[in-house]
Amino acid sequence: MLKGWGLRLGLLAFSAVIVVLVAMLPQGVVVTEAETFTPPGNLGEVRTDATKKFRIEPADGEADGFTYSWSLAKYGKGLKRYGVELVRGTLTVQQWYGTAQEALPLLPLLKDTWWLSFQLFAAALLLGVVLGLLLGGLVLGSRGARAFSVGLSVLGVSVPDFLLILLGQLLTIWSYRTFGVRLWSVLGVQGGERGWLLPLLALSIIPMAYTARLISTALDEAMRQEYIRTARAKGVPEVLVVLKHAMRNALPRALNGMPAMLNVTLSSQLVVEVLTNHYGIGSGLMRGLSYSQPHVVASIGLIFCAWFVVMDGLAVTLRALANPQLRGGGAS
Amino acid sequence: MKRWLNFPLVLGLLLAAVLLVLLVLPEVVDLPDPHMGVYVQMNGPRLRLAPFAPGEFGYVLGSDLIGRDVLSRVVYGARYSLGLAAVVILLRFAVALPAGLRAGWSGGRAGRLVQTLAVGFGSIPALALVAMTLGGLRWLIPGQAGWLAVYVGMLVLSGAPRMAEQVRRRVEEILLMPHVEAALALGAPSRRILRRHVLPLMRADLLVMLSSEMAWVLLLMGQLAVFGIYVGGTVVVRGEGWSKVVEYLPEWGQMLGANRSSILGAPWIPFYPGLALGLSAAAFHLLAEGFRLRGMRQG
Repeated sequence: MLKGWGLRLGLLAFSAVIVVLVAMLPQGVVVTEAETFTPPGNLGEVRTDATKKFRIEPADGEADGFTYSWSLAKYGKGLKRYGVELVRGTLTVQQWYGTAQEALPLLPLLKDTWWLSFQLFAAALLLGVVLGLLLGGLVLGSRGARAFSVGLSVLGVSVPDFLLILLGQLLTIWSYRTFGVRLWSVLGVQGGERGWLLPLLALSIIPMAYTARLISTALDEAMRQEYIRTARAKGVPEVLVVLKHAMRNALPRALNGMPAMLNVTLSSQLVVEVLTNHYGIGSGLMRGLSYSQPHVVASIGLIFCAWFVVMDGLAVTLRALANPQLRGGGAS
Repeated sequence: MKRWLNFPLVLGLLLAAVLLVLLVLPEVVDLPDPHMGVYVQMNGPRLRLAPFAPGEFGYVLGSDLIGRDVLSRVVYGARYSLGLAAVVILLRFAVALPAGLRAGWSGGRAGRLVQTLAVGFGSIPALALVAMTLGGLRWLIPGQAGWLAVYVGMLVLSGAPRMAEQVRRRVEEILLMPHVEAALALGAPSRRILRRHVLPLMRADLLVMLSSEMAWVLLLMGQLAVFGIYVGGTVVVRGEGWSKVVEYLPEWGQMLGANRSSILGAPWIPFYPGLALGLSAAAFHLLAEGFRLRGMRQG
């Protein structure tokens, strides 16, 4: 297990270096002849008389307006300055949530941002896993319950996060316009618990679907084992057979899929936060990218790498601890 | 027949059929030009400014911020979005299949390299990696062609090592089978063994992988669009006293990402491209699940 953690820390260091090197690339950009600055991706301008139909055609010479270059020396200086300021804790940020254009200390802001993200992640994970366990357990019920469980878990894994949020936002817009009922905030966490509801629901779908699929497969297999037949033959009530014998053996198997589930959930969190204006690290990353603040992107990348590696390591450790054979409980 | 079908496969095939209809629709139905817009329309004595809601002025799914038809753009967008995802998948296969076969066959250094790359790229979620990289590179790439190449390249790179590792593992399993041992004992050359004895056994796995990877690429394209990273470029449209920055190509990711902030005022603008992208990803995910279940049932 220790070797596994060592490997993870090595990967963390490697990922951290890559993330910082890549995220800081814009630091080397030098604007050379910029009379009028054109952002990347701009294809030109179309003039129109408002009442007439017009057809949009991109301007000739697609690279028009790109009057900047990249300097390795400037990039190196930027990297060095970032490293020094990171170590000293003196990094600042210009563009943050609704603030004036004054420099604010970045690290305390990132700490608050991460805490908000962690709360959402933990709540969604807990809700998703509990719902997933219940949903997965339905495979032992009637044919209809089994079909419901399998169908919902397959759909939960298949339907993308951004579509779920768009549907949720449309639902509350429709309910507000039709009945005057606001189900949840469409944008922003300022609405108290209503602001948390949509991101929480959207983010808990993935852990729910993954847990349901993993637990139903593991339970299916466990219920076919000899010890279950023995327990039933001894007259143990069915509830106890499931909870004490089947579930106990199915759980470690289900935990095998936990690292993949955490990977997808963490990835999804970035999107959920941006789409619901939840002021976590996903939204921070968005602001870093939108306002070209490479040191913000790099710092959030570092937090994300560390968080991901710790969660992945915890999942693997939990799986090892839950496995009776790895605990020394297996055949010697 | 019943053995062949299952719930995810049926649903996936139905959605895939809808996508196919979207791809051929412009050939059979006369749709409005997806680049044609009009900012002001007369509603009786009143002037109405774009965006127009679904049902207004003949716009079935509404119009975007400068009066372009959303239905037409979504239909034409299928070609761009699915085509882009298909190119990414083909390139991923072109890189991952030979690398995985080589690593699985010879093991050793090639096997370790594929394993290390898969673990390395898997140590941080693909979305974070690609978003940060493309966010950083955006300022260094002149022109749309270069940006498209980098965008596709990053999407290929983010998944190819994992695919190669899956192929490597499967090849290693197949190489232990008796028919491969027999071929080896008869002195068959490696290329013939891989082509005649290994690849045919991987058909089902490759089909699952193809659908699954297509779903992940479409999902990643949608997620990147949320972060404002997409292909196609923007155009400034100016009239008398107004100007709008709008997306140019009718690509679903771009239409979703560029109009994300319209969700409160004109929700149909980001919703329909998001729906199309999301359902496409779901279709391929369901197909992958269906093919996997079919493979399991057939043993």
